Amino acid sequence: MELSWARVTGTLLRRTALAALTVSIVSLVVFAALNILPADPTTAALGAEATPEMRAAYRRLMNLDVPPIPRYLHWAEGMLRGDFGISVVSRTPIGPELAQRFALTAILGVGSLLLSVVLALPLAVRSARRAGRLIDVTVSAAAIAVSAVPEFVVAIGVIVLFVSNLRWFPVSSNGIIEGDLNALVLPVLTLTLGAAAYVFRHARVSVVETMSAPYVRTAVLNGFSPARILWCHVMPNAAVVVVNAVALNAITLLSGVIVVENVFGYPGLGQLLVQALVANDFPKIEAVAVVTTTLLVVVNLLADGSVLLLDPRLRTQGAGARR
Amino acid sequence: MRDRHDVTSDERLITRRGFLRAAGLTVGAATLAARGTVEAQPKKGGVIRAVFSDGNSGDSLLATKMPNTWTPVMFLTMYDTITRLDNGFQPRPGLAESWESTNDAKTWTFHLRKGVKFHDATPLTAKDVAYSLKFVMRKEAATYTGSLLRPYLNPDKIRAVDDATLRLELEKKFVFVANVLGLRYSLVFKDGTADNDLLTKKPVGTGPFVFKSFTAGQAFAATRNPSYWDEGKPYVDEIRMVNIPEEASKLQALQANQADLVAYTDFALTAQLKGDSAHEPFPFKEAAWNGLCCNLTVEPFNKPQVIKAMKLGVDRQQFIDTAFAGLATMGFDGPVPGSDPYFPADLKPLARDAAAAKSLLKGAGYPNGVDLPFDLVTVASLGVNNIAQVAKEQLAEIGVRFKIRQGGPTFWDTAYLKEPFILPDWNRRHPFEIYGLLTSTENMSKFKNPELEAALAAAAATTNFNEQKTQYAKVIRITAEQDGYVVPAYSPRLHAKSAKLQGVRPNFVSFLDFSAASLG
Repeated sequence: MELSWARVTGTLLRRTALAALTVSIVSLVVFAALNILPADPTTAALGAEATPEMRAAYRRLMNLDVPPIPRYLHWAEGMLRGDFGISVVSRTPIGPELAQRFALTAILGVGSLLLSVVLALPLAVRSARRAGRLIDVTVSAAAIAVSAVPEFVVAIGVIVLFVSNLRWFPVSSNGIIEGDLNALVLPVLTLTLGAAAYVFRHARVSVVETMSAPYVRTAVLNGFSPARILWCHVMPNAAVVVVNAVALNAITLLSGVIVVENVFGYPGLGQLLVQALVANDFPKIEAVAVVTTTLLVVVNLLADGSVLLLDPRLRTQGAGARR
Repeated sequence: MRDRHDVTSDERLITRRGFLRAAGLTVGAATLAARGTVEAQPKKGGVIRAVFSDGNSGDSLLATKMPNTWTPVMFLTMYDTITRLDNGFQPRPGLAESWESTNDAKTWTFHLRKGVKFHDATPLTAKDVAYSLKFVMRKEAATYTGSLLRPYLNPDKIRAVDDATLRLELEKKFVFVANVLGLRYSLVFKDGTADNDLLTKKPVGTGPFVFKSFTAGQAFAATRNPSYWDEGKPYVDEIRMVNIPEEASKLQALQANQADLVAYTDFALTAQLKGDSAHEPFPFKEAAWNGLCCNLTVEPFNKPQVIKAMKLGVDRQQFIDTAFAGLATMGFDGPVPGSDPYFPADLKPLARDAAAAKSLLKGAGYPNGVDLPFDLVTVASLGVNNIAQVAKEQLAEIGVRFKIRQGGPTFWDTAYLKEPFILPDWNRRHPFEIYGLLTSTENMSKFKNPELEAALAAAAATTNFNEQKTQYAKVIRITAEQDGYVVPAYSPRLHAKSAKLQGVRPNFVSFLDFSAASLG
């Protein structure tokens, strides 16, 4: 079969253009939604005791009286130049704060994702090879149970065990700003438990299905060793599903991050988003929305690219739906 | 002739009775000391770790903005106000040691404490104070101090007479100047400080603690000011504040000894701390009022019998027991609690009388009760939903039925002063302040009463406390009887702390004052 890299490049370019369009549409929708809401950032900036006169003065100061369309265009132009603007509540630049929060969320998210894969894959393979036996049933049941419990409940359980009873770790993850890695343990653990359960379930099913494929039976009949069958025949084929599961997991993790960061006071993007929403800090909400959307789109693009690389059928001339 | 009034310094004029009392106390103290039973001095050193939950990434070091409970505590550790307010809202010496006004209360002179230094070791002068007052009075600064003073005082008439004397020449009479200068927005900065300096540079105040670090919405730390003017204070080496938004996590932090104090927490906490001898609830009583606010121009609230029926229909003691874990005090259907210095001693809370309430409703044309055509919209504050639920159940029993809708984070923008039936959350204030707001821009009930307005004007026209009290008593009584507020109980702000943390003082200015706190 002939490989078509032009096809691969074309696909990736098309996806990238779609991704840019998605981000633009999201930014417009978020901006419109924020302008439809009758919320006013002056309450968060000045407090509930602010008089109408104080609010009016503050609105003028922060250009909140400018009509929405020129305000959006001004904001979008800034974004294209990498300028995220100024918070209408704190009057400080959003960019540096966003960068710091993004880095901290990336540490939390990537750490949890990697740990979940490292934990779930070996378990999934082991369970798949012993499908239906006690270990498989036990681990699968545990994975389903963990998946069924909301992150908030898992987080509280983790706090009760590791903070109240064992007193091993701090409940506040605020120390991460000063490089205290202890502060990372509980939020990572909470996110990892859910993510690992998700990866485990998908990877197990994929490995079980692949192991029952005709070419694997042929390999067994040919007398190949179990390790060779697993690593050379089963895993490369099961990997496509695993990559998709990990990508989907990354997306799910981002929503989990919002809950977990607020429970532990972890100073990441999730907490920034909630605080910006509480304060009606429009430019900050917009900035976080655009950054997280971009992140999701990039994760999807990477997953698509990885699947193209892993599955030769998708990059072969005349392959797929056109056949 | 000048009328020197309310020079409420610790060093008051020594009267004969005061001298005898002081002498008696001295002898008593000496006797106790000889027996070795004198209370120990506060222990010095240690780090106080306080947890808050409403820190926001929108917070900054701009000390003219204090939109939540976190920022006033933070700023008042670093800055001082010109005067200080006690918990009865009476002005006490702060950076100003004493003050006087002319009889017409138009010229005010403040004498500053000597020897006060900023954190950078420069001495405080009246120039700094004059500049600060002008700075917070700017329209664009949008401070509460500015909005209270601007109708009376032209900033050009704020003058440093000498290094230790500040003079304000008002355009018209205003007797509460010293009160306003004790509010949290009346902070003293260095002469020439600009907004951008506050936003970007290390804060420099005269307060008990010196800035160490700040991360918006996350953490704040300040260390002991060794040159603080209040001799010996503060006692602890450092104060650290962290933000944990989740209530359950806050309490776990306290009980795991990872925090010494959790601020603004749920009433459910009192049950959780039962049997925990190392930690205790720390209520600041009568700190807030959460009343049902009825717009009197809207049917059926436009019928006085309906409002009266609602006031008679609430069981105040049940409110205190069920919605506030027994920590609240009786409400008098107005914004001023019974312990306020201006409160009329003979005014009693209404006892529940369901039969009379039903009869009033019948007289108003609702023999079968009334289903309110609008919801009760509640503010997103701790404990408010409990209050709404109890009110709903109690008022349903007399025939006033309604649904509850949570106003969420946009309450102040979407429901406040717009919906006819709301349950907001107000901090307690001096009667001149709260009635000033409730009769103008913040008139939630749309109540108008010439007698009340005349009494307010009379109270604001005299510097005599007793005369003020007579007038405010009238105001409080009219509100309780006729206004559209149903305030069954005065709520505490509930904190919790470790038993070893002593000397923290809740107040209405900084909310929590750590300057005399120690870790025993």
